[in-house]
Amino acid sequence: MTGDVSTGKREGSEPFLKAITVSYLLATCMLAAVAIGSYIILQGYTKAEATSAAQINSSGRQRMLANRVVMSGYRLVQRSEHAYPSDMVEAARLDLLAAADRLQQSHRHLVDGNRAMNLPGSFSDDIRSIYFDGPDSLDSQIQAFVARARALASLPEPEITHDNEHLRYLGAAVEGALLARLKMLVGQYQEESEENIDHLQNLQLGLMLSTLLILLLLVLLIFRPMVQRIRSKIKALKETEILLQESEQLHRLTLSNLSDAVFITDDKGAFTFICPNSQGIFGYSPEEVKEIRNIGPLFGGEPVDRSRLKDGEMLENSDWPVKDKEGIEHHLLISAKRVDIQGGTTLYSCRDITILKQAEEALRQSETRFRTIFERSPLSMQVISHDGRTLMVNKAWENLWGADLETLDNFNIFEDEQLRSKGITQYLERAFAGESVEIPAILFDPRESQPDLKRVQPHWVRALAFPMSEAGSPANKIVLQHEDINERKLMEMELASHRESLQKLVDERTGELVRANKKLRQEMRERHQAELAILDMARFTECNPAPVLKLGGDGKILLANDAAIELHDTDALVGKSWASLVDSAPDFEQLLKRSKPVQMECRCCNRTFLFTYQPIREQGVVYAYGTDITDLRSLEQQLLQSQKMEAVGQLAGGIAHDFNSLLGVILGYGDMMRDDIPPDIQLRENLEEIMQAGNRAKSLIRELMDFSRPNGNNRQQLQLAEAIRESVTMLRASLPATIRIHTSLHGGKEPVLANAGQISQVLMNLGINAGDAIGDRKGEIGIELARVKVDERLAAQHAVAVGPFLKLTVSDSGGGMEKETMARIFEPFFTTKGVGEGTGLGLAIVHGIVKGHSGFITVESTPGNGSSFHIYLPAMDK
Amino acid sequence: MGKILIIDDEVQFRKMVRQMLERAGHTVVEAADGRQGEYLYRQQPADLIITDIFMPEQEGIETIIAMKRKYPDVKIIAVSGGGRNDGLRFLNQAEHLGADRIFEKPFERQELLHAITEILNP
Repeated sequence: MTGDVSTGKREGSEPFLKAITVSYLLATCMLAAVAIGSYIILQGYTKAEATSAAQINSSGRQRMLANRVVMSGYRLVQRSEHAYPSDMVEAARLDLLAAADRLQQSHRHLVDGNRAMNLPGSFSDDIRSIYFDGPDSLDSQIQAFVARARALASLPEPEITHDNEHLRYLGAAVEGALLARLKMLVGQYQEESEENIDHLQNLQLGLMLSTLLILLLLVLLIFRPMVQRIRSKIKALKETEILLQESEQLHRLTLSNLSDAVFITDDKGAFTFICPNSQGIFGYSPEEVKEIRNIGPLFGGEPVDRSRLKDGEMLENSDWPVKDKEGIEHHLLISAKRVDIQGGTTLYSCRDITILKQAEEALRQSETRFRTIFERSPLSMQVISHDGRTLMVNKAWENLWGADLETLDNFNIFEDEQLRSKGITQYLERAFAGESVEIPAILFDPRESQPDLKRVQPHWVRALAFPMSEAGSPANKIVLQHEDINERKLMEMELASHRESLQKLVDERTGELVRANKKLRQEMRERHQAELAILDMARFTECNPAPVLKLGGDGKILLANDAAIELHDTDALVGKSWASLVDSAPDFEQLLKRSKPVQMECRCCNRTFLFTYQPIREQGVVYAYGTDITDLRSLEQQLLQSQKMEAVGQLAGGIAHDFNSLLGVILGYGDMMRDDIPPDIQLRENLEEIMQAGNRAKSLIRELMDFSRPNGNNRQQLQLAEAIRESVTMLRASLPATIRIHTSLHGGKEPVLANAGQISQVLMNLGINAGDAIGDRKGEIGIELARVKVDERLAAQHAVAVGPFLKLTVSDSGGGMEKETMARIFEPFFTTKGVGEGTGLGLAIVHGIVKGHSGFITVESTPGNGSSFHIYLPAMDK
Repeated sequence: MGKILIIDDEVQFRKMVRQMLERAGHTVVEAADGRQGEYLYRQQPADLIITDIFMPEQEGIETIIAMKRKYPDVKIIAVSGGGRNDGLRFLNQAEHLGADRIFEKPFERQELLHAITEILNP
C-alpha cells in the first residue's frame, strides 16, 4: 500500500511541475509583453506630446521673431529719422537683419524638421497645406516677410522712414495675414496633438483590457485546474496518510490477534522480539519467554536449520511437537524467514496445528466411513468432479450400469448431449453451488451417451445430486445418486394412462351432467315461469268479481274463487254439491259427454246468475263461469213493463174516442128515455142498469185516458208533504173508519218537480189499494216521507240518476202478497179483485206516473205481513 | 130557443144530440164534418155550432179556426170523446181558439143544455 502511493506521487508530480512551469513561463511572457507594450505606448505618448509642444513653441517663436523684426524695423526707422548716430543706426540695421535671419532659420527648422528640437520632418496633409499651399502659405509669407525686412535694412538712411513701404508691409503682415496663418498653424498642431494622444490613450486602454483578459484566461484555463489539482493531491495525500495509519493499526491488530506466535531471534537464537500471543501456544507470557532467552529451550530444539536460511527464502517445519508451560503437547507448524528488523535475523512464525491434526484425523476417519458407506450403499452412486469427470463409482453403480470407472474415462457429464438436452446439467450446477437437488426422472438411453455401457435398453432413472461440502457452500465434488425406477415409471405411466382414460370418462360424464343440469335449470326456469303464469292466471280468476267454479263430474265443487265464496258466505264451498246451492243446475254427467258449453240461469242468494258450464272432458271437470244478471233481468222486466204500459196507453188512447162517442150515444139516449119511462116499471129498472153499466164504462174509459196521457204535463215545483196532506184528507173520506192512517211527513223538505193532481192520484190509488188489502178488518195505513240518497247500484237497477230522492212509503197491515202476485202488480189490467171491483189499472197508472216523474217504485211484501210501496221522486235543490 | 148546427162524423151521436136539443126546443141542423158544417152555416147561419174534434175531411180545430175567422161572433161548443192520444188537449186548444164551452163525451144532458142556454142568452 505504501509503495503504491509513493509511486503514484512520483508519476503525477512531473507533468504537474511541468504544467506549473509552463504556466509560469506563459504568465511571465504575457507580463513582459504587456510591459513592453506599455513602454512603447508611453514613449509614443511622450514623443507626441514633445513634438506637439515643440511645434507649438516654434510657431510661437516665429510669431515672436516676426514681432521682433517689426520692432527692429521701427527702431531702425526711428533712429534713422531722428538722426541717431550712424553707429546706432547701423546697429539697428544689423539687429533687423539678425531678427530676419533668426525668423527664417526658425521657419526652416519647422518646415524641414529638427530632431534636436523634437520637430519632425514629416507633416500631416493639413499642416503641409498651411505651410506650402497657395500664395498665402506660411512659407511664402515668411519668405516675403524676411525679404522685406532685409530690403528695409538695406535701404540708405534717408529712405528709411515711417511711411516706407517695407515697414508698412511688415507691420501689416504681423497684424494680419502672417499672424492669422501662424494661429491656424498652432490650432492645427494642437488638434493633431490631441488626436495622437487620444489614439495612444485608446491603445493603452486596449492593452490594459487585453492584459486583464489574458490574465483572466490564464486563471481560468491554467491556474484554476492547477489549484484544483493541487487540492485533490493534498486530499489524496491526507487519505494516504489515513490509510497508512489504518494499515499500521491493522498490522498491530493482526499481530496482536494472530493465533500464531511470532518471534525474532538473532543468529544465536536469542529472542529480540516476542509477540504477545506466544502465551496462547506456549502458556508463557512474553516476559517469561524473555527469561527463557533462547529459542532452543522453548522449542525443545532447533525446529529449522537456520544455517540453510537465505535472504527472501522461508523454511518450514510442518509438524514440530512442543510441550507448553502446563506440559500439554502441541503440534506446531513453524516457518522461519531471514529478516533484518528489530535487531534480529530470523523471524519465526509458529502456528498451533494441534486441532488441525485432530481434524485431519477425524477427516481421514470420516473419509473412511464415507468410502465404506459409498462402497456398500445399495444405491448407485457416482462422484463427479467440478470439471464433469467421474471420480468414483460404487458397486451398486457398476451393477446398475454394468460397467466400472474406467468405462467413464472419456465421459464428461457436462458435455453429454443427451443429459444437456434433458436439462440435467442445470441441476448439477446447482448441486455444485451447494444445493441438494432432486433430479426429476428421465428416460435415459445409456448407449447414446456411453457406447461402452453394457446396459443397452433405455430406462427410467431418477437421481439425487448433493454437494460434498457444507450445506449451502459451493463444492468441488458432488455425489450423484441414481435410482432405477424403470419398472415403477412404466407402472406409473400405465397408471397415468388409466387415469387419463378415467379422467376423460369423468370429463365426459361431467359434461353430460353439466348439460343435463343446464337443461334441468332451463326446465326449472320454464316451469317457474309457467307457475308464475298459472299463478297469474289463478290471480286473474281470483280477482274476477264474478263467481268462477271448478266442478267435478259428480257436480261437487272442487275449486271456487273469492267471488263464489263470498256469494254463499261460507269458506267451506269445496266438496259441496253445486245443485244443492242453486235452484237449477245441469246434469254434469250428461254435460261431460259433450264438449260444448251450456248456459243456464239460476237463482242463488236472492240474485239471478247466468252460468256458463264449460265441460273439460279430458279432465272430467266442468268450469262454471257465473254472471250476475239480476240487474239485467230487473231492467228487462222494467222495460217489458214500460213497453206493455205504452202499448196499453196507445190502445186506450186509440179506442177511447170511439168508446166515448158510443157511450155518449148510449148514455144520452138513456137519459132521454128516463124522461119517457115512468119509474115504477121494470123497463125503467132495466134502463137504469144500462145507464149504470154505461157510467162504469165511462169511468173505465176515463182511467184508460188518464193512463195514456203523457206525464210531463203541468209539472211544477211542489212541496210533496203538502200535496200528500191534502190527498190524505180525501183518502180518509174514501176509507172505512176501521182503518187508521198514520202519517209521518217531516222527512223530506226538498221540493220535487211534479204534477200535484197526479201525485194525489198516486197516493189515492195506493191508499185505496191498501184499504182493499186490509179489507173490513182493523188495520193501519202508514204514509211516510223521507229523504234518501240513491246509490249507484239502486240507480242502475232502476235506470235513474244518482242523487237525493224523496221517498214516499205507503204501507199497510194487510194480508201481503205472494211473489208471483208481486211480480205482476204493475201490469195493466192485472187485478186480484173480483170482477167489477177493480180495473187492474190503478197500480199501472201509479207506475206510469212515477216513471213519468223520473222516479221509480219498489214493493216489499210478505204474505201475512202487509205490503209497502216505496215511491222515489228526484229531489230538487232548495 | 135557437138554431144549432151539429157537426159530428158519428151519425148516431148526431141523432142523439139532435133529439136532445129538439126536445129542449132548439132547431137543429146536422153536418158530417167540418167542411159540410161550414157550407151549411154559410147557407143557413146558426146561433150555435156544436162540433166534434176528431173528424175525417176537416177536423174540429180547423173548423173552429175557419168559422171564427169568417164569423167572429159565432158561438161554438166543442165536444170530444178524447182518445187518439190526448184528445183532451185538443179540447183545451179549442177553448183557447175561441170555443165558448167544451165537453168531454159522454157528457150529462143537463150540463149541455144549461151551457147552451147560457151561451144563447148571455
